[in-house]
Amino acid sequence: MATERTIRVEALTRVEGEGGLHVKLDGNRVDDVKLSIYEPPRFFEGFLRGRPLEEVPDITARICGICPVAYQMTAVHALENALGIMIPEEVRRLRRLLYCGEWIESHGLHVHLLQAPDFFGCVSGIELAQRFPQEVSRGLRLKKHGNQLLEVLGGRAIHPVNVAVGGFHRAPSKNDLQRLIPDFQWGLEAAIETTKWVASLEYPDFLCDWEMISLKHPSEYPMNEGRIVSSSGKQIEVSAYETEFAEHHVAHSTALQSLRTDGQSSYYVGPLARVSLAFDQLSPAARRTAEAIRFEVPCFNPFRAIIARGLELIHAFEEGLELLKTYEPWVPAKKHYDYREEEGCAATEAPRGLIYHRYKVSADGKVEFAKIVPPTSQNQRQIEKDLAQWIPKVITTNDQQMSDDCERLIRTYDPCISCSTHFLRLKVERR
Amino acid sequence: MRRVLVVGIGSSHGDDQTGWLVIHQLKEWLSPDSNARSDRDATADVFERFGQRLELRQAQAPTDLLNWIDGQEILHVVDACEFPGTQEARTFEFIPETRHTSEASWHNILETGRTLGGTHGFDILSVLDLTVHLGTQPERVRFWLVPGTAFEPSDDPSEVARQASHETARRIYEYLLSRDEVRL
Repeated sequence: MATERTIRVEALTRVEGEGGLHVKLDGNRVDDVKLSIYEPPRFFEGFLRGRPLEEVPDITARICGICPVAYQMTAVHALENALGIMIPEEVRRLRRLLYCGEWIESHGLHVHLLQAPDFFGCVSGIELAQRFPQEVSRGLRLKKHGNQLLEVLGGRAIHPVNVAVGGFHRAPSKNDLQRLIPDFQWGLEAAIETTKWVASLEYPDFLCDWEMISLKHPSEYPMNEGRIVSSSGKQIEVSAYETEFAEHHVAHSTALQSLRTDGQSSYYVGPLARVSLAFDQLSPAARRTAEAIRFEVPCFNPFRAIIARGLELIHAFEEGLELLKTYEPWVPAKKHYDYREEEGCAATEAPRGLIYHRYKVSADGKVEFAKIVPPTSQNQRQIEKDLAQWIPKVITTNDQQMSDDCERLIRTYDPCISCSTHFLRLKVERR
Repeated sequence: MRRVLVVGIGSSHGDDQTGWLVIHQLKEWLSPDSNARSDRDATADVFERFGQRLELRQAQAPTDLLNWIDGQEILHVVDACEFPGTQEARTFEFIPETRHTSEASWHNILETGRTLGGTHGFDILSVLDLTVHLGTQPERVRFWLVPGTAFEPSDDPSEVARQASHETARRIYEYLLSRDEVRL
């Protein structure tokens, strides 16, 4: 006789923010999966209305303590698009360097303290540190060097304030950046070791049916600009984002869910999508390491996202090192611009995946409209679909075990719930 | 020279800024007549005062401490807390290796993590536990918990929180000056 069963994960662990999971089972059949986000919406888009456009980078940086650079970068690119500002090459390079710092800091934390414990049955990074102190220490040092770079470029450790529409408020000194070179040389080698370590882990045999989405640039690994590409082969300009993707309210979540406008299907963003869609643009050491560990793309196993993060760590250190070595300060640090009534949009690649902003500005430089679509909103529906596919593989009468297995999958997406409300507690109903 | 790290944890949400305000105030008091210099992070404030190497940092989350903790002997953590019915900051000592607290009443509060939040499941106690396992823990930690009442996104801190921050900074300054001889 079939039995109805409900499993609830009331509070997801090792993710940023507060959310829960509600699973309804009819025997071994999954009836429903709902990823609930409890965090109150924070109305940042509303706060921005009427504010001088110069305040946008600093306000949007406060949306997330983990990935402020992604918000700042996307905001300045969108506003520069609206104002018709063409930024000089020096600004582009320094912005890529800033993004390298954020990827290093975010991936370093996620690989070593958030996802790696799952492969060893550890309940936390603390337990992992007891068993693998050397690897965890290495991960924390990698993260630290990402933070150091962010501090130098962003002007301070908290909420970087140096990013400006048209460039930077102040170009950092050559000396301040070049002092980081020895740490980045160490980081490049350490990131390779980390990636080889995570590649040696045992992965669940689980493949998802994803449409992967990421930016793609003709000559560089996707970070702060490019066209939006899909694993289906389709390519669009960023300006067509809202005709291809739309956000929807769902009753069980305070975060909006993004779906394809064509067919209302879900899609997947993040490091695994980037590595799969732009593998040839990874740095030489990242590609060599991928070949050495026999990492094949496209990869549709979400658990292997930890390897993609490792490869991007290598890339970020290698590209960052090159940018540090060749850096020369320039003046003026910020390009002059005139206000005009216009709309502009941009997409960049946050550590967790593609992020999109659109702003409408007035003739006197005020924000009239703002739209911000973070990566977790875009992955949310896909996570629910992937869980529905994953649960039959891990189904057991032990609700706690099932909860742990569900959380294990969810962590592979590195969801940032604070951003998406702009995340997790599991509830399973069994019948 | 003894190494002391003072970290103010906060966010831009109203009274949650008190940790940052305390660090800002301490910098002002330490800067004028000291040999202030920046370390290699270019953004840290490091002072050699009172026979100690004092490093002042503003943090967004307890995990930030992991970037700066190695080699520090004493750690001061300043954070905003909700204390119903009081406007006075509270302070107590914590030994990471033994998890001993100078005030037994704080042990349970720390264990439940209700008072001090974090990100990714890492509250301050988890971070300190991690340092113990990695052998990078400070000998002692002194917590300074500053009361707050309003934590709305992007709001300015309340006047009460500003006053409590100023008073907490004064107490920490005196504590640093006394090289721990003041028992609070």
